Amino acid sequence: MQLPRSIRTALLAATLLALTSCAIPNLPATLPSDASGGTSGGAPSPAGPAPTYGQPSQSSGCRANGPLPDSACTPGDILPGATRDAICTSGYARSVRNVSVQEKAAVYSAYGIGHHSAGQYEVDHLISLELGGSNTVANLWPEAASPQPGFHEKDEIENYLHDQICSGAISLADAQLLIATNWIGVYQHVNSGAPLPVPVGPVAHAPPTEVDAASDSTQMGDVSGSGQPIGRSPPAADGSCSSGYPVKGNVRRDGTRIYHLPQEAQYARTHAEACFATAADAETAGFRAPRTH
Amino acid sequence: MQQSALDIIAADTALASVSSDIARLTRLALRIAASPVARAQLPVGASRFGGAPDVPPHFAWPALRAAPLAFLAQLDLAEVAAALTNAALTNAAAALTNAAAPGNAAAASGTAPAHALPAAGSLLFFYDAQRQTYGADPADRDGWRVLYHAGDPRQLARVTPPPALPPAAQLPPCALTFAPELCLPPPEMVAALGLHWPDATIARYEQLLGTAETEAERRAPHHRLLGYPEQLQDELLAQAALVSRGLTDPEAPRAAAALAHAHDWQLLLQLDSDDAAGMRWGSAGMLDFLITQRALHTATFAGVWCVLQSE
Repeated sequence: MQLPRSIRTALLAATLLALTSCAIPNLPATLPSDASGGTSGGAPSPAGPAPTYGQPSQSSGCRANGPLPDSACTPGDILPGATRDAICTSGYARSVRNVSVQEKAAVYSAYGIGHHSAGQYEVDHLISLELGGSNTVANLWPEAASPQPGFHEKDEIENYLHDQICSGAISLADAQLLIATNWIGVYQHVNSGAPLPVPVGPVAHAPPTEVDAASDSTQMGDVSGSGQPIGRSPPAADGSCSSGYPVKGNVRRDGTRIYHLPQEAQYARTHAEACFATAADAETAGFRAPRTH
Repeated sequence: MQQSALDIIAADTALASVSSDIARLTRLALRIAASPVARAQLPVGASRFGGAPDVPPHFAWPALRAAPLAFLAQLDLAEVAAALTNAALTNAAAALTNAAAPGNAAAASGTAPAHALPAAGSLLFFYDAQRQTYGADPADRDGWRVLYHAGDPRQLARVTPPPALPPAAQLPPCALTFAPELCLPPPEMVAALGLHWPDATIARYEQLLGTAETEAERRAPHHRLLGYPEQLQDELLAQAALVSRGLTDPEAPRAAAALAHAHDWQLLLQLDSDDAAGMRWGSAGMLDFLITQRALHTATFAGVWCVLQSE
């Protein structure tokens, strides 16, 4: 049932994004010219739909969307054994680096790139190795250096998120979601002070191929088998939360993340972007109680 | 790579048809390990990463559009020569080379590059660490500088980095140790070296190369002097040959002539991302300084080409 669930999840996330009061628009085909700076604050950055890690639905005819891969071909993929402790150990990325000549050629071919100039593209890991990404084709695409932001700028964001994980500011699972769905939003956050985007989950995993999934239990955020941090669940399409995850997480237009408890007056009319088992789980994910609470 | 790993590759039956190529391609290189130290602990002239360089009188700190470049490394070439010539692996590399080209070992590619550096003096490496020049554009050529000083390094004087060099571009001082290693080209580089191996052979070669290192060797930073660069993206020798001649498109009219000289290029210095040394190239990437063999033999470092490749 893995595939149907992931499809449901993606549809759910897309519907949620369309309905929510602080809806996050779809990524523009062309980035605004001031993407590298000049704006500050404002609405959360655009986010893509929740990815289905390791499950590309397409292997040819892929088309990059500016600095973003074709999500049908490159949804991203992670190494289940890549825990926070592992990726924060010096030399980790080097130890798992393994993209074959054949794999690089396949990635260029899938995106219809016959030949290219020196340094024009980087066969990039959508979820970088230092963020626990895998070396499978589901996680690779030929990312252009220009226009900016291109792969040079994404490198910076990968380093930023890696540092955020290792400092404990963000969970590994959330960082993986952000880089897979909305690295441009993180770039805008870093360079122009825009709010850090909200990770959109959950994520379905393909069966682990490189590392035994059993070693996944120590991943920061206590990721469950579905890739969703324990204590967190996606809301229903109408923005409600189930009884097991009653705390509603809401993202305001200014990017502020607020959680609401069932006993609060505004709870019923709050459209949740995420649901949490407890207030503590919500706080761990970066949400805070409303000022009046 | 140690001798035992090379022996496995050389003896693999699936690579029998290219065994003489493998022997001829084997090069001696130095693996460099960096250990943070206090700046004052480094004797004048000693090899190092980061900190401050030791320079001759009237030294002008290299700059790009008035912005000082970051100081990356200083190599005492006498120390390098000692590490190369005292290595037991020197004999192994020479034996392999001689087996591939009997009676002509000195001229074959296996040993020649390892001994091509001047046996004395010092090499200084500077780089635009702020902007992280990638070396993919002919206009990048001023984003690094490699300076050779032929005199006794102990007669140099330490210079303080200019105030305009931001702290973020100043690497912590590290003492260096050199360990000899045998080196084979990455699979993508075989064609650039003028060899045409079947795809299945390349695949098997790549597979064996991937198992040539122990886990500890894989995890340790891959700083390397001479030999072959490791490759994360485009083929490096071709890129250096092309871009250093003002070209980027491998199908441009003048590209074929430039690419015909790709095999003339080789690694001078590879700097890996290394937390302890304060080095972070792109995202877990590498910085490679490449040089033509002719330039290496004539100690001419002005034409060195630098490429940053990232994951």
